[in-house]
Amino acid sequence: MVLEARGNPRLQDRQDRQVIGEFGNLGRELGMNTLGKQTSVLTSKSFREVVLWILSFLMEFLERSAFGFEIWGYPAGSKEAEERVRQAATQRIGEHRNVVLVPQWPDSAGFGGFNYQRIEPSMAGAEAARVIVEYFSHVIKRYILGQTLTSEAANTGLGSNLGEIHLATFQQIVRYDARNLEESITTDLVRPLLEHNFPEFAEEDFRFVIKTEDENVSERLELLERAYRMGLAIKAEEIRKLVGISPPGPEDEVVQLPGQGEEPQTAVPFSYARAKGIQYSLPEGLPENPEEGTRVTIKGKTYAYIPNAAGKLQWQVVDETKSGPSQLKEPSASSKKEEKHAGPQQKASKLPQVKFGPTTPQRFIQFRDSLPTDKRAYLSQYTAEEIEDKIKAGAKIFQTEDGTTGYMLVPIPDRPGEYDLCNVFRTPQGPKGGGQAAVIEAIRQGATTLDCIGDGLAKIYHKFGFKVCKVVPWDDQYAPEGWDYEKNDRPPIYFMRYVGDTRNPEEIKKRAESGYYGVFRKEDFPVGYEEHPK
Amino acid sequence: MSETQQIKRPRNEEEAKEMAKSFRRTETTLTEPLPPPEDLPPEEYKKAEAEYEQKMKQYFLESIYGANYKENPYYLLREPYWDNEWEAIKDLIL
Repeated sequence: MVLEARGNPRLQDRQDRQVIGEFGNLGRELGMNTLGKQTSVLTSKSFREVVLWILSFLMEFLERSAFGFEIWGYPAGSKEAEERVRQAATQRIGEHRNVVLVPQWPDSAGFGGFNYQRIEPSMAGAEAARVIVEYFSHVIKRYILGQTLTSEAANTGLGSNLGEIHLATFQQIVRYDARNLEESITTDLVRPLLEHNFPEFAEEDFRFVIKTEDENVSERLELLERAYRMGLAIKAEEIRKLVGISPPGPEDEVVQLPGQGEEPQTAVPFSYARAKGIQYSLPEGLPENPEEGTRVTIKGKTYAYIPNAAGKLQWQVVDETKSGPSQLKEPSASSKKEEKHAGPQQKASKLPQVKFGPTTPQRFIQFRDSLPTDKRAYLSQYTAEEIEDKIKAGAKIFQTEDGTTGYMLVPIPDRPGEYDLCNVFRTPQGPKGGGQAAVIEAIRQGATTLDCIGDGLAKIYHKFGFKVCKVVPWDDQYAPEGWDYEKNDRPPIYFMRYVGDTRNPEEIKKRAESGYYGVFRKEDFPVGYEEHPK
Repeated sequence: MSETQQIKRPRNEEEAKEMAKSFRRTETTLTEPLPPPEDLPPEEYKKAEAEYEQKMKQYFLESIYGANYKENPYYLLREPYWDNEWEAIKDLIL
């Protein structure tokens, strides 16, 4: 398309500067004085004609010179013999072959007459032809692509970066052509279509745009992930836009990273009405100055004024059959009167709701190490420095306000949002059920794997949806500090992974209480057991 | 198995695994006990709490090794250490 375009300034410019110059070189190399004239004619022709002229010239050159000469001899003075030889040579050879008819005079012995001789060209001539073809191949490529390294290999020198320079040149040409095409389509197609079909928008500046540059998505995602780890709230919409995906609808089956909660996925905020233009609108009847936790039911839908994924308070549709973490917040006293509209509240549970918050390694260790030695021996006894190092690598530690219960989440490499659960503890002074509440909260936050000592702990975690994937024998070299072999012997070590398909705390709790994950039978998991032996 | 017959205790996991091949588990009929109400008078609460702990320990034991846990070779292997293990982990359960 570009080659057929007329009046394209880039083409005109390139013809003037390069093609004429290249033909000048060709003329000098072949010693053909007439080529100067030819080029002046060529400037007014299309590029396709130029290329074809080059090819036809090359073919003629090859046919005439590259395949040698034939000398046909005939007896001198015999018109008949000359005519017969001419006919034979004409029938024998093809067009453009170089043939010379030579009269042969009798020698001193009286011999002389018909003969045939072929003079083969030297290889130097063939090599010259090959060089010329290659030369023109590059000329043509440079003329069309602006460079050659995007379509063929060549020595560029180690670290010369020449390949990238050629690629950049090529991309500039692509962008240049794309801009021109955008202009043409905008002027000749988009605007007429707009004027005829949407005259009310005719004054608007609609443009046809060709996307020639992709953002470096993986680099930007990496930056976003870093920012996220540093605690910045990031709009889910922006991430979706970056990776080119749309938000799921309420009925869509979704694949979701564990630990990200269910709120963002279900936060299809409100159905929107199309009034003047397109805009999102809240349903009428919502209080103007709501307090956090306020719930109102309008036309069968319950709206709650609760924090969104970024922690900002906003009205959100609440699905009463599900309950995300932010919906567990206690509503304020003033909003309780509106709860009667909000449907059934959470079922009573024997597992208490214990609140956990981030803590410091020093405080975490202070309480963890207040456990009696026998209890502490069942935990990995990381030092404050080790925990700090893990936190730098993305680990999180949580503790109740009174410090008596806590746990740690260590990120699993290459599995964002998934964590290894460790150091779950509750001191005897801690809230009843606090240990199990810690496990539930950890699962909500993305706990996916863990390892534990002995059948009892494996049984506890099994109840919450962790499945045994491997059982290994005790190894003294990894024994926790203070391990008492007299009291504890050498119990097996269990490696487990979370198999539950929910991260919703209420659902996890409900399943644990109802025995959803079945019975933990020790005999099913002997030492050496492996879920998927390789 | 007669009551007078002495139960053979496995010496290690390998032996327990071998013995477990002939073990037939009986599932427990116990259900997980509920904690005592916190509004009980202190003395009663203390008593109820101790009772709850014992019930939970028994339920926990039977749910892992079966109602006939005393015949389960894996329990027999861990039996001498079970009380200590329970003490170590019970705060995560109760």
